[in-house]
Amino acid sequence: MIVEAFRLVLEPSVLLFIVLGVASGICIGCLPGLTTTMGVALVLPLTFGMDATHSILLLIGVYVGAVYGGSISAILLNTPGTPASAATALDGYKMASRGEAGRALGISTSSSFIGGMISCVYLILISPILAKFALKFSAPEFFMLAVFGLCIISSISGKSMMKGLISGALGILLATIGIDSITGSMRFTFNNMNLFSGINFIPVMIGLFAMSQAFVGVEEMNQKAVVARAITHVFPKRSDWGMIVKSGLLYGTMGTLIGCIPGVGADIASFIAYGQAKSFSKHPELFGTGLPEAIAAPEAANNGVTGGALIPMLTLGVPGDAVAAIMIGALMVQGLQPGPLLFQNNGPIVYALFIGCFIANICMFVLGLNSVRLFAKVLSVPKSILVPTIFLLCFVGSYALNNSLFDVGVMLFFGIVGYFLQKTEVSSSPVILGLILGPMAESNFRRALLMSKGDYGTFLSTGISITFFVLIVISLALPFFKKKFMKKQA
Amino acid sequence: MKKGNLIFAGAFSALAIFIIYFAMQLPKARGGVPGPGYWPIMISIIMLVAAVTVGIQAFTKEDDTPLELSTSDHKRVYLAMGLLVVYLLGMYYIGFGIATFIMLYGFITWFGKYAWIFRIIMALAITAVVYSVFVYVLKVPFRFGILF
Repeated sequence: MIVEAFRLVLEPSVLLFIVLGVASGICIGCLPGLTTTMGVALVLPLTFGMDATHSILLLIGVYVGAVYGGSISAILLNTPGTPASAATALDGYKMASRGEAGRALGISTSSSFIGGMISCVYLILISPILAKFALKFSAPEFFMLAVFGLCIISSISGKSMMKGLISGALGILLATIGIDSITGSMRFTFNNMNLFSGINFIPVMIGLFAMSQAFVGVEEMNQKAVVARAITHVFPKRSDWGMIVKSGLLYGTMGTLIGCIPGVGADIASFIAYGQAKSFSKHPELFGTGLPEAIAAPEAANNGVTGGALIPMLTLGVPGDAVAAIMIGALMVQGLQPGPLLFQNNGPIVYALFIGCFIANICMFVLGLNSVRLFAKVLSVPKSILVPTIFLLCFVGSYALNNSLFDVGVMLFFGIVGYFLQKTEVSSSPVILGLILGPMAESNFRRALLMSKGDYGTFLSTGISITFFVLIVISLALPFFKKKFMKKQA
Repeated sequence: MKKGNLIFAGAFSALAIFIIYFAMQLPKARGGVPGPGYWPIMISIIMLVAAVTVGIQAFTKEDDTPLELSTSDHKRVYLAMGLLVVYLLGMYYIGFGIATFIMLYGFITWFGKYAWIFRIIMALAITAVVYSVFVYVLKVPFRFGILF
């Protein structure tokens, strides 16, 4: 299996796609306003005609590259390219202002690389074990798992748990449109033929994450970016390597573990890492003045999330974050169903993905250290050209899935909805996760009741189900405890 | 933000009630196994409860954060949304190539300050690249519209 996986990955075209993915990911990430999720959503339509290995490794390349790329504009412009780099901007820009932009970029690149590599190691070590364990799940456990995924995502993402719940419920309800898989009844189709097979979540995703962000770009069209400063001595100094390796190992591990939790993305991980680095530091008062370790910690953590988010996605079919949700879409387009059976039925592809993650991180490191001056030039692409191009890519991308203009309409509708959700501080991620986990939750809910002849006790009949139930209660209670804790702290 | 939260709560409460109404007309449960309407009703009730809670919180909590939706920046977004709906219709009736060129030329002219020749070259180049990648490389057919 491993040999087969190496054969798949070491194909020149696959390696080229990884390099292209990482390079375009860095470009997307370093452009303020283009998030990692948006980048992966925009590249997704290009993968429809590819095979599974090319497709998923291209997307992983974009993911790894974009999470790192955000730090370039954070350091050079004090404007994080992606939310995951907001913590990096705090000290990175201060270092750049002192004339140490190259050093700051070198530290960011190296710690991102170590964080990413560590997360790959955990991905390889944890995933097969978790997948094996998940084989014990039957309908009630899968239902409880889906509900847990939805609850934790709704409670963590965004500022309000209630809004998160509404957002998740909207996604689940969208997933109910079409023919009911168990009885064959039509649900909410209103005799519209385009709705008979349901709403495809890829146009919804492109709308919510790419189109809505492009509308934000239109809103901020008149905001001018500051010209980037000179970049010299990018390769870290010998004296910096000790700190980089230490931070990379520690906060890369932290990022991976945080990434495993559904709904907690790279942005949260980087701020937690920044806070931890500050509390461990001998000079916490110097944080915010341009400290090298204050760049290394969040960068290692946010790239650590990349591997961590793939763990629940591959093993349980539950996405760790919005990017992992898009990857689930990419796998499903290829006819692959993420979950424990993926390891049994498509082992070589899974292992190829693991190896590809390592290669993507190496590419990111090499490109980051050698071509950062080139990527910094991307910052000068004017929004007046970029935003209309994103509009076009959203239209063409959502059309390409089924060659259907109806899908384009769906994308535009959800682009508009996504923009207003952002305005009312509602996270869009639960909508997508609801769309993905909704069918899993409903089918297993009804299957479990069918098997137990309508006995609801079946959902708490095994140790695994009870564990999930406890986790659901904790995830729903978490925001209340968090609020109380914050009040006490204040 | 208070007003925004109230509109948000109202919109989603209405959506939840609308779904409950239609889901109740679907076949009922048989032998203890829920029918196709059971799950949407359950989720809609959760949505309704959450929306009502957001509405109550909006009334009871003091929130001074303004929800700005009518500044000139926002109006630019609404106009862009409208133009994209026109572009979608244009694509359907006229064809991909011409509609896309006009859309790109229009937006670049609106958003930037470039010479007309640069705008034409940019709009043409982007249209050509995207068309070539999707049609010739990814084999996506653009079969709609009376023209190109």
